[in-house]
Amino acid sequence: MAKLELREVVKKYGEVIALDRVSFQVQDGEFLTILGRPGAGKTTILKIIAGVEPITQGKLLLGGEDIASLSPEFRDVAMVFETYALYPHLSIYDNIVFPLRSPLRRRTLSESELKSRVGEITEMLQISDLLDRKPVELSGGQRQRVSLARALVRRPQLFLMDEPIAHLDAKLRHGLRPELRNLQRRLGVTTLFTTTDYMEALGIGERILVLNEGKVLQIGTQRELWATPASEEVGELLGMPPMNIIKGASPRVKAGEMFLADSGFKVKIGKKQRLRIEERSLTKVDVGIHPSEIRLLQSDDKYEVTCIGRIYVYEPLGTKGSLSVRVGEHTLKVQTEARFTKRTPEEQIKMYINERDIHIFDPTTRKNISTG
Amino acid sequence: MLRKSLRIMAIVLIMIWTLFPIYWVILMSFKTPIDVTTYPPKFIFKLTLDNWANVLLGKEWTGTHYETVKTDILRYFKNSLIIASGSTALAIFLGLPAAYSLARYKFFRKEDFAFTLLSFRFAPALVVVFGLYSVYQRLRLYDTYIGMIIIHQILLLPFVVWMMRSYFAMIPAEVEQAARVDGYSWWGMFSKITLPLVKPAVAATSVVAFIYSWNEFLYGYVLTGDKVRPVTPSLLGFISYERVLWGQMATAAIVAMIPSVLLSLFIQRYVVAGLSFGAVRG
Repeated sequence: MAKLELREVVKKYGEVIALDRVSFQVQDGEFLTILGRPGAGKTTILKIIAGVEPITQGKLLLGGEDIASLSPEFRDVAMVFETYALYPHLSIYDNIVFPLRSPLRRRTLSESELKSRVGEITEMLQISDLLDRKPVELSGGQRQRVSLARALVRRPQLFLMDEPIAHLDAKLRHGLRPELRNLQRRLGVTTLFTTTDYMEALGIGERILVLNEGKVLQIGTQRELWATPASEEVGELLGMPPMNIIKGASPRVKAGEMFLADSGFKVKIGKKQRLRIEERSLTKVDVGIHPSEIRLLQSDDKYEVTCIGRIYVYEPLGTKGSLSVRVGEHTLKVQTEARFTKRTPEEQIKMYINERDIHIFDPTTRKNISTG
Repeated sequence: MLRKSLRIMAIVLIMIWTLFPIYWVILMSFKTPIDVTTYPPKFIFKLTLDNWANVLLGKEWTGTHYETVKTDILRYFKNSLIIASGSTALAIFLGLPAAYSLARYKFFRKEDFAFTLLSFRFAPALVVVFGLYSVYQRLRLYDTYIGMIIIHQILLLPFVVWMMRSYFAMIPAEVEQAARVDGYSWWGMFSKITLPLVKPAVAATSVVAFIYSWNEFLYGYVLTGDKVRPVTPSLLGFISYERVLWGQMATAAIVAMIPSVLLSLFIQRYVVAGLSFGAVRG
């Protein structure tokens, strides 16, 4: 069990910068989720920690010890590869016990202990009937679970899981997520878990690290990321549909209050944010609004109308819906309940946005003015 | 139906084209010296085992009785066996690490190195062989097994390296990385994961390399004396001033052919298994 720390880590592949001064800490026993689009550098982070890729610059500390120059076999970390990386010539059972039979761990467990350890894990992952097969004979989802099992049979300092449940069908994924979380809690092993799916990140992680183009955009709990996204990119990565960003809106002062006003659009700006805007003397700002924070008003609602638009298109998204509304020259996405069919296109619609739910970004740096 | 019969006809024609010379040599080995040189050639003749008795057992029929004569074909055969096995073993031993490095690592002028290795096979052997002759005399490598094994590396090493390089490259790097993370040293990973995965490819490559070495003629002819002469150049021994022993030469040629033919039949299956490597993608 150990605390992990990266300090200003840089990783270059030739001239390409894969990781750009990445720094973060993971506490002993903590579960950190790394969220980012494909190609953001998630896999690279895990690989440099595992030691299969060297770092170009920076410090890598595990349990207070600098492990940057340590061979992977001595780092005592277990990794689940996104590509599964099973051993094609070995049976599923031999694949899973392979790490337990390594020269470093040999003879710490007897054959029967190995068997029961494998049995326990494969039971949980529902692959116990596949143990005699070869990896080629398995489906993608089954291979992914074998790869997960090969890591989970170990009791390492650190689990590194690279999208370990991404290729499973929805039912299994939902069943497995809490199981994984439980097992991790029980074992108390520090864990890094990557995903491209924000729902998964919000659902599983205590803390979430948002990664984009090799840079750490923000680290925080789900609540922090939601309430104060550090930049427009963070906002765009969270939520389905992603955050609405209205570019280049001009704040205006009227009767002692500051407003963001545009055609069909008028939102008050809170005191704190007004202060920030004035400190920086910004004449234009980018405004972010989560689609779920926009309230569609019925005619008898008492809320103040902050926004008027015309319905453009409605997309059902399963458990919820996404309504596109034309407001002036912008299109706002609004999250609705499922089977939202009360309105028809081109119909006028009134909306309410609370001033607390408005995120204001500096248009040049795209960073949140209340944090950066 | 028509297409099928055309196909069969084409296959028959190709079979005749390739097998006829072998068939002819086999016939020749059962003919008397007079029948061999008769024109037009005879397809039906009186079978004789004289050539075989002479080449394999060293018994010559004088008309009244068998007389013991000197025959060295089996010794040459053994020489070929030693040289071809030794060359193949050395080429695999040296070639596997080279191939692995070329497949996995980046290093200075890697592609130039790989191409230079391949280019050893471009120059005609005849250009270098006489220079090699005097070098070999001085280094006392002339007419030694080790000398032949070394010179055959020119033929085999580029082949082994280029073949095995592509096989190693087919193993996903992450499979090897997984083994390292699972607690194995580089050597542990190589012996437990990498080698078992390329085993069929190593077998197929070795067999082809063995055949290359076995069939080699020129270096064997120029760089050996009688002691370690391989079987291929030894066939020329049946040509002398007075006469050409066609029947005995044909017999010796058949004997020399056996390993290549057997191995070719054997690798057919193995090479297909080795080449269709798709199963590796785990």
